[in-house]
Amino acid sequence: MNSEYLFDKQGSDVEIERLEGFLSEFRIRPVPPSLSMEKTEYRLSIFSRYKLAFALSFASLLVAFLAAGVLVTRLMQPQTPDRVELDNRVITPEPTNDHSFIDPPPVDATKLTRIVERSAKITHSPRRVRRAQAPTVTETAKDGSHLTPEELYAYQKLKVALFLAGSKMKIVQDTIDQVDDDQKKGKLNR
Amino acid sequence: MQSNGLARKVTAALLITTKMPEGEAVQDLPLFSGAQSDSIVQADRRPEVALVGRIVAGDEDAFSELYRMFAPTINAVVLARVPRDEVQDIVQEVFIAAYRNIAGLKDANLVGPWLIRIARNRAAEFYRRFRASEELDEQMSRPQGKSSEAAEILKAIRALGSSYSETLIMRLVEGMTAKEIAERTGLKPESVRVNLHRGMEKLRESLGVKRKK
Repeated sequence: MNSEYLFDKQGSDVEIERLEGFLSEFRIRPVPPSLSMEKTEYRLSIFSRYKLAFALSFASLLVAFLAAGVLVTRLMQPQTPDRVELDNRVITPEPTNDHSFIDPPPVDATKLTRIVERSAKITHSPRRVRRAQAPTVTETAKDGSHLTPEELYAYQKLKVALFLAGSKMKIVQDTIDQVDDDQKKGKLNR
Repeated sequence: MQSNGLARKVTAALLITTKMPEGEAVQDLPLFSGAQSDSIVQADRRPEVALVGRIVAGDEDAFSELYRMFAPTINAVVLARVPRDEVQDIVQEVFIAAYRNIAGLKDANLVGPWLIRIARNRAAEFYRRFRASEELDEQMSRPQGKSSEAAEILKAIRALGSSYSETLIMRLVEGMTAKEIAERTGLKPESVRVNLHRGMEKLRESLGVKRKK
């Protein structure tokens, strides 16, 4: 065997050349793979690999978007409170002498364009008397120029909401107190 | 001489730690187990380094060039393990996998051994799928005439073990010289020569025994 031919193809060797002749049919024909398809498949494989993550992300974004839309819609809608009548703005042609519900308008208010304060209408029912003992919802427009009508309206709504919450808590507290009183009376009678 | 030996040891210690396809980490590269495989030379393979850089940058021509450079080597590695009908497809898969992961190759000088490792993994994966069947042998015995002789020779080469079969196929099938084999695989030229010489001796014995039968 000619080692030089085996190592570096120098000289010749019949046996090795014969083997090369037989085995040449296994030689590769170097045709590089197409990368354009590979890039498309790679992009698709990335997408398929993370398909679930994409779907979950999209679903969560959609839910968040819908929730935000509902929230914004609710905030935009005006909410009227129960049992309390409030007008955000009233234009009175002339002042009235009925001071039980309405504070007298400012002296310098004109006849036609005037923003007057409103207070909650209080009846003489027990429940409403108790409510009257709570902080009244009396809006004194000392100087309505620093608040826009929308801001004033929102402010009044907020105060009404706080008043209602306080009144309900008061009711609960009264109920608890009454129960305690009954229990004490029951014990005393024994 | 001592510095060369120390450099080789340091080089052997600083083996590839790139991430292989499918996240497999490569700890070392025993390219040819059983033969002289303890000498991986980190040669200054500038053509490969430049090609890898261009491929990472998106140069498709550089990838084609890399393919032409290493396709014979990869073909030999795969042909030593899988049926001939599957070789072309697996070689394509190897290079596609390499293209996908080449950005993670930390040392471009070792792109050849890295490709060989991918090829072996792919071949092993193919073999695991067909291990239970005997179709491998049947496919080899179907050709007639010259092809049957070639199939017998290839079968005998494969029976020598991967240590010698890969080197012999690179030489006898692809026509690579010992120097080219060393450059592509990362082995020393001396190791390649030993593998070729011993492999040929064993092949002659095997073929001689078969002819007597």
